[in-house]
Amino acid sequence: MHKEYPDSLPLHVSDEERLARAIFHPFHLTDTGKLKPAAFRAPSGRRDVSVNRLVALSPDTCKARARAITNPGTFRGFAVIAALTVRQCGSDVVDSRELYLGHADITHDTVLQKNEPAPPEFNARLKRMVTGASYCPDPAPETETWSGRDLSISI
Amino acid sequence: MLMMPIEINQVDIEAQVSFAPQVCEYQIIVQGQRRSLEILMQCTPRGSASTLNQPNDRTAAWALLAELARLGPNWDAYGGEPIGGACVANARALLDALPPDIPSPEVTPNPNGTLTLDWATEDQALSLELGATRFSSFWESRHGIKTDDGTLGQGMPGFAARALAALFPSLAPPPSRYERLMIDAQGIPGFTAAACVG
Repeated sequence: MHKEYPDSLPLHVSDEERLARAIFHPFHLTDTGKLKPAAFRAPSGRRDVSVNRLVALSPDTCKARARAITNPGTFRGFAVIAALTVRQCGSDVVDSRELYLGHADITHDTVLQKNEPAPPEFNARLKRMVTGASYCPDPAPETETWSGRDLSISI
Repeated sequence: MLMMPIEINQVDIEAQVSFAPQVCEYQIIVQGQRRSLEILMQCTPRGSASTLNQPNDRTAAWALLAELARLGPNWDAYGGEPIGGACVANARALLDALPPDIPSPEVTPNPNGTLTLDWATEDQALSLELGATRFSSFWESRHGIKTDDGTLGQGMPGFAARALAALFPSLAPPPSRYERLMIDAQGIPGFTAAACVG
């Protein structure tokens, strides 16, 4: 519904919503192709981690957004996670449509210092988040359209 | 823990033997009819760890560190910050201090300019994040998650060293390397000569 009438997208991100985080090679994937906790980290001094609301954006749009912010050849796919999982891990999800409609942020309650490690409990939280997420690789990342599996049912 | 024959006062007995690589210590339990006998025995294998196993090549890990040190602003497309020079130096120092038969870790840059070193086995994992002055670590052990953090000193933090010894117990020779354990009439433990390592 919201993909056709995006203006009706509610501000509140419900627990049931699926969120897609663009994954870039090599920093977000292990040598064996699994998600790394770094995929859900924010830079120092910030608590927001960008995601796309799949209730509002199609995979093709998400992919176009991802390819627009990075160098060619680095986009690999999406980490898909439910808002409920994020909240159960202790973080939150908030709409941030000021960037573009369908954009949201995972917000952590821990703000990291530059060049100093996160508390171990926070790293353990990110590990749980990665475990609760599903990595959906794009079989053809160099193309403009999404050809991977259905993101809305990928968890 | 494995069952193996040992000789106590020239009598052959079946005993349960386990080995703690962190302290190079054997625990031997002899089950009797009315009570059991427990013996702790420390040993120093002849030959260094590098003679027991092939040294691990760190060349690739060092090259990766050099590459990560050159990451510029926004390296991850999400505003990632350059990796701190002190973080890279700390990672390099820990790699240099790793015992030869501990494999090189997977090295990951973090958006706040730190580095994470990861080791994993089939059933355990250790994650060690290094900053300019501090470390943060969590170990998914067989007994649950254990965490630690603190100020970086010389060498590997003790918590991480213990975790690595549990992940990679091959540092010490397994009991099977010894043909036979002996405990003489005075209760002094030893090995048969043919079973020496090194």
